[in-house]
Amino acid sequence: MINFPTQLISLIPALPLVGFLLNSAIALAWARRRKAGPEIIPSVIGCLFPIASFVLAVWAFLTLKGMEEGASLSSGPLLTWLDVPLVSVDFAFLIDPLSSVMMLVVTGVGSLIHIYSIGYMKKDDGFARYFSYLNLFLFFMLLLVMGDNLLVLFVGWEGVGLCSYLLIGFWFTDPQKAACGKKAFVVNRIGDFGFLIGLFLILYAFGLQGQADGDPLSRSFFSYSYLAANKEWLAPLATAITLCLFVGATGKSAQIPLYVWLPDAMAGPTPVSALIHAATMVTAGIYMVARLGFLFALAPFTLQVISCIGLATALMAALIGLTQFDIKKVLAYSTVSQLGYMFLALGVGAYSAAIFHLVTHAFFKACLFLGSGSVIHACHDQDIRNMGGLFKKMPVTATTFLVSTLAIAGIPPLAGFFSKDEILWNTFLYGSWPFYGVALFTAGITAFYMFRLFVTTFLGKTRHPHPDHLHESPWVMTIPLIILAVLAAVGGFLGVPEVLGGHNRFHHWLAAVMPPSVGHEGNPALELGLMGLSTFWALVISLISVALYRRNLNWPAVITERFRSVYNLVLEKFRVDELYDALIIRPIRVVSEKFLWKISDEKLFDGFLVHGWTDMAGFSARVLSRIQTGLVGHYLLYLWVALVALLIFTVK
Amino acid sequence: MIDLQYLISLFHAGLPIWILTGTGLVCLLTDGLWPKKGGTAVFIVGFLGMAVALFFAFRQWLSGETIAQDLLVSDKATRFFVILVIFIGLLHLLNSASYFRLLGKVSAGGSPAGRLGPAGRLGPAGDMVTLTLFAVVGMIFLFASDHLIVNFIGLETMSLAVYVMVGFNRRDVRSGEAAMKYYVMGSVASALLLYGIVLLYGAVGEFRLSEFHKVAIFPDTAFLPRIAVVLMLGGFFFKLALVPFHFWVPDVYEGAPTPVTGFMATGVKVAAFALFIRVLTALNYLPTAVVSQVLQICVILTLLVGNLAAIVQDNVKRMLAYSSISHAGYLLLGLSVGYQSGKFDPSVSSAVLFYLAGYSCMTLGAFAVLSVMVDEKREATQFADLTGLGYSRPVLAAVFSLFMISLLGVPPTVGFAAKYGIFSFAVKNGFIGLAVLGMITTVISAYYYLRPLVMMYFCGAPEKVKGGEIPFPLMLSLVFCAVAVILLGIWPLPYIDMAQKAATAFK
Amino acid sequence: MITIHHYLILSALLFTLGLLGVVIRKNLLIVLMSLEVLMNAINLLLIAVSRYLGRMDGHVVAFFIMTVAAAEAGIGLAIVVTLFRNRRTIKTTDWRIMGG
Repeated sequence: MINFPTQLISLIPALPLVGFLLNSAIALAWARRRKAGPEIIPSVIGCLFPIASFVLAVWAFLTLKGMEEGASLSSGPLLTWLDVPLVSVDFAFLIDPLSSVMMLVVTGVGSLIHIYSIGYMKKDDGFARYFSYLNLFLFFMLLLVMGDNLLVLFVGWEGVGLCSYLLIGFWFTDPQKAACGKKAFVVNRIGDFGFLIGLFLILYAFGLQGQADGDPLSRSFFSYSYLAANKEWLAPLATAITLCLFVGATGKSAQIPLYVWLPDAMAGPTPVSALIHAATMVTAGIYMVARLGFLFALAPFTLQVISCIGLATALMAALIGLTQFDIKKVLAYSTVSQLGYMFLALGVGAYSAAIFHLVTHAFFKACLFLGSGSVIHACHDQDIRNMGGLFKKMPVTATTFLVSTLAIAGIPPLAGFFSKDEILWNTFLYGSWPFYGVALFTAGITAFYMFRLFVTTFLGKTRHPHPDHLHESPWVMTIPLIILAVLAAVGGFLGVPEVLGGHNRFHHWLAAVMPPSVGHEGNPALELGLMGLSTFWALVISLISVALYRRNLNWPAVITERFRSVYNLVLEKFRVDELYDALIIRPIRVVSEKFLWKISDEKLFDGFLVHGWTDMAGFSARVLSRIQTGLVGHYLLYLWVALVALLIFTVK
Repeated sequence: MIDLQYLISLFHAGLPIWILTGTGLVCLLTDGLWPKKGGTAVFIVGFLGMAVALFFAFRQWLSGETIAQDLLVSDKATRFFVILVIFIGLLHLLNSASYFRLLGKVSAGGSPAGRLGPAGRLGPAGDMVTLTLFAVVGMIFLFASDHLIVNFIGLETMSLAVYVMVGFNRRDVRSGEAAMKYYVMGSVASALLLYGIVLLYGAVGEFRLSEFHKVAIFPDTAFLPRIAVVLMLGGFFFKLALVPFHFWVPDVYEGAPTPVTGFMATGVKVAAFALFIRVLTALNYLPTAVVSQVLQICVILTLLVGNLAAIVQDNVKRMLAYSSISHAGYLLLGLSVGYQSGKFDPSVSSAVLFYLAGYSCMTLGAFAVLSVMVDEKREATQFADLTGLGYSRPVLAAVFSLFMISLLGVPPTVGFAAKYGIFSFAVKNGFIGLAVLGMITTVISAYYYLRPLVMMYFCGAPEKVKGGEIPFPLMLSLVFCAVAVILLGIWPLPYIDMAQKAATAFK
Repeated sequence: MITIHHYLILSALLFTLGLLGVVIRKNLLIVLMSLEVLMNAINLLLIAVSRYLGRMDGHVVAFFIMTVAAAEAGIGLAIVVTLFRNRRTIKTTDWRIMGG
């Protein structure tokens, strides 16, 4: 095989960018003509470039695989972006084991979702615009995972946020959906602020070490290799830096306290939810923490915070997921919950387990979302109470959905089992008993609400008002579903743990770039035992759930009645939105209105500072314009006077 | 006896100049031979000639070696400015090509009693191309020599061409008035400069700046060189449009045809600054410590007057005239902070050079937009004419907003990068006061730079839609300027590097 | 004995006279003539200084300046003609459409 030439690296993110440019040109042209053209053109452009990127990414991956351990492909500095006395930043790409995994997920799952979108977005007015945004998203996401320094990552980070905003509010004529986009943007901004402060702190830490002068190479503070090589300089500030960066991660990856935007992000088209809000963008925080693992390893306190927040998010989101009736909302909370799992893994130092779960989650959650999209496409409704019995109408969708449900529930030998179990085992090993208990409990809830979702949607009698209209989706939508379902089924074999006779190849693949986990070796027998326990637990809960909802037993109703107030609290999502409203938004509004606007702005700034100064400026301006008589003789006189003044000043 | 070797090296040193001069003559001839239809042909010939000259200027820049041949100096600094000036000339050609066509079309379709009159010959203007070429040649001579008389002749070549360009709309009384004012005052300023040069010659015995270091050091009280320097400064300040020598600027900028205004605001200023830096560097060898104080006073006056007076204008062109005055103030600020204990350190000029390049892009772009703003038989450049432009001509409004933001100095545009460079030199060299003044006046300038945006986007739709395509040449120059403004803003390093290389030539 | 100082003073006087004329006179033609006076003052100074220094380059430069002055006057007259054609007046005080 020919090795991947490093000159081609920049092509991988550049191809979707080209797709974006072409598609936006088409979208503009269509908008100008006020008439959409044939949809085949934007769909071919929109899908071809991501697929080409994917092919290149596979090539790069295979090349990297053939190289020795710890090797990486680097584009070298494509251009010097900044070279100021304080810091120097190159624009460069890096393909190492971690980023190659991310690239494969982003371009692979991304390409499938692009293809799926052709069917889903059919006859939409914004067809070309949709594909241009989607391509732009891929470009920024690739920038995020491939950049070899934190600033390039940050460009991608902000870029995907922008695309997320654009796509959530894709149907912007509906003010509610536009508001959802705005909410996502604002909440993410809060996280990004933390991220930025983290970046500044890194700069500050290096400045403290007197590293601010010197040749450009020794000032490329933000590049991963430099950070890794000089991490001891960051040690004094490591906790503060990592906490700030983690705030950024909670925003992007929807963790407590900034998770509130993700459920609302479901206002966008469903493929967008699958790509951006399940498979790729929301995992950016996990990628970032894993990428800077060496830095987080210096801050045990931050790691504890991360695991606590991850666990709490996983539990809370799973509980909310139990009560939702909107098919996409259930999946959204499930995503939040699974992301919580990944952070839990990061928090206990099991970086490769987190990335492993990220990958398998991308497969099955994308499949679930696309499946739900297929259902919504058929039913034109998102409420599972109006569905049911769709198995016969949509066999492919239902089968793939079932496979993914089994995967996320952690039933062996599907993908979710391996990745989730690795997280549980690592939690047990490096975390603590209570953590393990809660995580196991949450896994049960996950299985419960997922089967609740599956059974109510696909089994039983049809509750849809027009059952005859229901139909299977076209092949452009089902083929990606099938591929993803297959991946969700077999993806776990990438990382079969040693106790089951596997080699955990995934773990070894990432081992070169990940800090080794600290702590004691586990006991194989114990590991097998716990594995059996969690499998048993997932199976039992799944069966209970199926039984409850398949037979329409009235237990749920009874339990709901019994614990009405608790149930309502969960149903209303723990009233977190209301809490934020009361604690943050309303006080800010009151202060801004009563004090900042009425007193500070109107009286102090407008009245005194602005108008006072502008009156003075206006007066002097009028004097100046009065001098400007328009007579050339006067002007010459001024010139003369100025000259004489100059002469006197100089010669005196 | 003619030395062939000498001629060849002279040819190499001034290659862009010879090409431009030759093209100018060809244009003159073409226009004379086909007076009726020559406009387009002349335009093409002139444009190509300039492009070729630009190509050779780039080659000279890359080749690197300095050629000092008798009266011509071809060092890095000269080549930087040659490239910049030719760029300005090319953009001016693009801007003016369609402007006169638009104005001509409008006046042909409008009422015959329009202000431009029935017989205004305003088609594609071949003369404008020729004049531009000669003006650019003049600009190059203005700084491509260290002999003050050659500089002066270059200045006059440029000025004479520009006088005519200002009065180009022959039937427009404003154009004529502007030409008259510019001519009378410009001639006086030239005379001041020349008087200064001759007095300096009397005191030093040299016309050549490069020989100044050989003259005996004068006592600090020497009378003649001081007067000479003041007179020269007066002439420079006039050309650079600095307060208190700025009174001609608003009137002339308002009356001149819009593209010509852009050309004056950029080309003339760039060329004059180039020579000014050379002269300031040479003056280090004379007892002229007072120059730094004069410069500082001038900076303060210019920043205040330029920014304040711009606030009350109703005409966008006039507002931009004051804006160009204030930008000259920022540029002079960049130079005046180069004085350390009475000596001028030319290394600060790298920031000024970068500023000049960025300023040229955004100003030419802004005037390119205004060149399209032609309403029935007149230039529609009042603020009121911008109302609702964001809806009737979104592209035009968007790029105009971009140029305004850049002139204001907001990232990620070049205006920010340029101002940042100037202010950081000011802070580094300990001129905190001037830097603060520069920032305060920048804040003031937000008022008048953002006003067009308000007019275009927040004052409702226009009464009648002033539609119309943007002519192709103008589109070209708009795109170029807009891309340059953003590119130099987000990735200024290579250009700053160029400016630094050029600045090292000032010694 | 006539020294270089006499020439300096004479030329300064001429120059001032020219400036005065430019500022005070309203007829554009007279203004043009005053501009010529300015140029001649400079030329006078140049010749005197050059002679005083005993160098030839000043003398040569004087010719250049005369040429430049001639070209300038040509442009000036053209502007006067254009102005007169438009509004039948060349009084500078009549030309104040712009200002303020």
